[in-house]
Amino acid sequence: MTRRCRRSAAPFGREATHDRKTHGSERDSKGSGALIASVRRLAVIAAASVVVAGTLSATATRPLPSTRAMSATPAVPQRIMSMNLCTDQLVLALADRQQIAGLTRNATDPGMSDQAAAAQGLPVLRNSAEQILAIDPDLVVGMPASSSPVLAAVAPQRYPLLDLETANRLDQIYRTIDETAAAVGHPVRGAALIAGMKRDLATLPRLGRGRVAAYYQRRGYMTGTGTLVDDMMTRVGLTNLAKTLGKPPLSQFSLEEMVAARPDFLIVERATNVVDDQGSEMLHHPALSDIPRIVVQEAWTVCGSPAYTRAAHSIAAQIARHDRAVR
Amino acid sequence: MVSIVLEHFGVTLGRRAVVRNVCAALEPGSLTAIVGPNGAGKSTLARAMLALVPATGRILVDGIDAAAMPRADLARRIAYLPQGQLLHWPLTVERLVGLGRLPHLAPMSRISATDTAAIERAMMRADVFDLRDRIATELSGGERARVLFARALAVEAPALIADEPLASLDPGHQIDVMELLRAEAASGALVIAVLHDLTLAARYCDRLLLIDEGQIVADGAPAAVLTPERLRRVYGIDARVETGGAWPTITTLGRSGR
Amino acid sequence: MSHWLPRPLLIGALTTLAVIAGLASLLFGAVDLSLDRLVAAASGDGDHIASIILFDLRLPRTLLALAVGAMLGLAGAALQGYLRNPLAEPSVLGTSNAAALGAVAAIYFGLAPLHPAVLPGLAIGCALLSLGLLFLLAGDAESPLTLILAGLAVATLAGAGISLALNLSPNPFAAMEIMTWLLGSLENRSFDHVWIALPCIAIGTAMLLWNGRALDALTLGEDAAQALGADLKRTRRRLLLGTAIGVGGAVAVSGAIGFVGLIVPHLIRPLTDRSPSAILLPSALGGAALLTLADLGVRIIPSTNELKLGVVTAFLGVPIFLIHLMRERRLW
Repeated sequence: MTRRCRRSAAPFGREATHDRKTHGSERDSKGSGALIASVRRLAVIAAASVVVAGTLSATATRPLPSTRAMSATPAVPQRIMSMNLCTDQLVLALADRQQIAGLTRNATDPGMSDQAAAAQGLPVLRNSAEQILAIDPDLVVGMPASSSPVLAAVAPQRYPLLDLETANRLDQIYRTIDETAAAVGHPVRGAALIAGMKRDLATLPRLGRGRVAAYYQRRGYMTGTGTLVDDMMTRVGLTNLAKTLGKPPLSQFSLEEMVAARPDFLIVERATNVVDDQGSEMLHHPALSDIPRIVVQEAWTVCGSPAYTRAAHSIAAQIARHDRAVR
Repeated sequence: MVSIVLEHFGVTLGRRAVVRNVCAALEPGSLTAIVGPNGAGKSTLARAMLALVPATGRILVDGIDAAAMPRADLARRIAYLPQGQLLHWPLTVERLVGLGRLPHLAPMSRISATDTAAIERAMMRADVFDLRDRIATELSGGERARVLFARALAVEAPALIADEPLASLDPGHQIDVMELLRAEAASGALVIAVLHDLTLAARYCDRLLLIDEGQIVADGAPAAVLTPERLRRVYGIDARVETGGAWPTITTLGRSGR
Repeated sequence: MSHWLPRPLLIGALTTLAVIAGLASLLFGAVDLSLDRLVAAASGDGDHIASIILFDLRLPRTLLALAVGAMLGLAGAALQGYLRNPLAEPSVLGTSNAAALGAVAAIYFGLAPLHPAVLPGLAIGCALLSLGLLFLLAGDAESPLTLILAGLAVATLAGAGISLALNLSPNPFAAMEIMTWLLGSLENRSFDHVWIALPCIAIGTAMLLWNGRALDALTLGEDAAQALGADLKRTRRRLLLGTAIGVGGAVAVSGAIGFVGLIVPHLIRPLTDRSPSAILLPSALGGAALLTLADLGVRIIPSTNELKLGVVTAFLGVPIFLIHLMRERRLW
């Protein structure tokens, strides 16, 4: 019935994530102690950590296409369950509403998911094995689904799984769309979505002209190469500061180093525009005040999703606005 | 020169009247002992005279109501040697005795030549000058008692109240301390001591205030106060009081039937 | 027996040490800047990058390290004197954690932006509350241990409060922040923080330094102190307010940095006549130097992530705490 993902043969990939303190790791530890109100964001914590785990292992491992699993499932599954914020968005974009039996907690958060509006009214799961048993899904989509500890608790061999790899490049996004579309029984929608994205990107101006930008996250984490953000920066003609400095996919970069490196742009996430904790406060330090900023929505960059094109266009438009203002 | 007058003086702690309606006038140049059984209110009376516990009635120090007097003024008039003092920091003897000058120091001022002289005088009188560089917490009990006494003397106040200054001292040191108190009175100070040893009290003091259940039951010269009848009533003891010598001696014979 | 330094010499030496620490803190950082570049930046004709690093990043951080360290050292000395307990200090007694709780509440529930005074105000309020609770719990207990246990209870309660507040706050990154608040950090501080902390620290310092005489008198116990003219009610009020305002303002920008108030008076005391008043000002100077050096260590010790200040001070402070506790054991 199911297919074990081959990436499980590479535990190294998972270990490595703990060394690199990404927002994923912050969210992980948060997950263990969380109580009441912040539950809203908890799923993304888990989701994001999976994203990161995927980010780092994606180059080394690649899940098998799930065709064999598919062959045993009905052609059009009717109770699809998504295990991850990123697969939530793919399922919402490609499946019919009545096919969807369960999404993760953050699926309805517009700050996290580009498909939040579409997710309204659909059942949201609480990461509980009991709920999975009750739903008895005929397709479980995850990134990858087979690594979900909740699923592992309920004998996953019972359910058809779709293991998707984490998309850190545009071609990987296309592939996840393709695979999801096929699995949910709407391959034509997938092809149309991909074609639309390709049209959108064909008009993307490369305004960066090789200027240096740093994707600077809360607490001074800088995103490096091999990431979705790096892929976007390259596509609009920017050079990733982390790349010029030879930094890993995620590194901590102090304010002093940032001031000294003096990139042409800082790319920051929209959520950090509001200072509501120390992590975001540092991004508003006066020492950074004279570096131009590009703001992107987290919902567009957390997952490799169809929103990629909007993110890329948004960055290009902000560079254009900056260039006009300077001129 | 200072005078202390207690007018219908009383202290209530919790709901219990610990000191009741005490009236007395104390004169300079005299050594007065407050005596009485445990729990009679001796220490409370002593503390109340320093306004350390809230009291009813009045206490006039030099004719001024002590309750209305700024604490520093009172501190310059009456020095106090509390019962069983703990020392919290390992100060040198000289530094410790110097604490007695605190009431005289203006805020933020440094210690003056007058203060240094007073400290030296106090150490000389209490015979601890040789100990001045020692750490006070490392001294023997007798030495420490003398050092603390010197601390009280360093205030150079016209009045001194000592609460059980003889506690935990051997007979020799007890006599030393009584001699010091006597010498203070002789030099014109008003000295009050809370004492348990009736013979020492009778030998050294000019006047005894015998207290029972918060009230003065007798006030006067030792020979007049210490009668076998009173000792039976107040302490519940049978005692022989011999008044033939230079001072009355009290020999306790046993518990009385009351 | 006594091997203490003359006071002007002691104060001069400690001031020099604090100044050296401050200068070192300006010289070293994540980016290597040559002395020439820094001097040029300081004199106003340096390059843009060097002057931003010097004036916007290193200077506020250095000023805060000096001020916060001075406040913690002084608060430790004053609390030890007042409580006559060599283990008393803001973090051991839970004051720092409580102030951090106030700061956390102000920041994570969105109250801080309402008014600049909200953040230090809440930190000070919580610090005051914790001191009140502490005095209520420990009362007039003669045993120094009772106080330490009460402090432990207050500190644990406030620490749990911080975790709870961060968990309840609508912030997904709170876990990382808990560490900063409980271990303390001066990373990424700006002049905004200096202006929050400095007035509070100045007021707190003045109120605590005022108490010297009364603290000396308290060496002889409360009765004797009062009989020596000390007004203990006012002393207590000044001490509580001074500690709460100073430590509250400091913790609001630095988090709860432990043990500075314990280590410094302990190191200073043997150099003085050991009276409580004699260690107040030197403890402030020593605290400034110690925390600035610790913060320098945090930056220089190679690590992937910057160390938290509390880690360094705990390694220095816990041994001293234990030595004292062993000595106290005979009183148990």
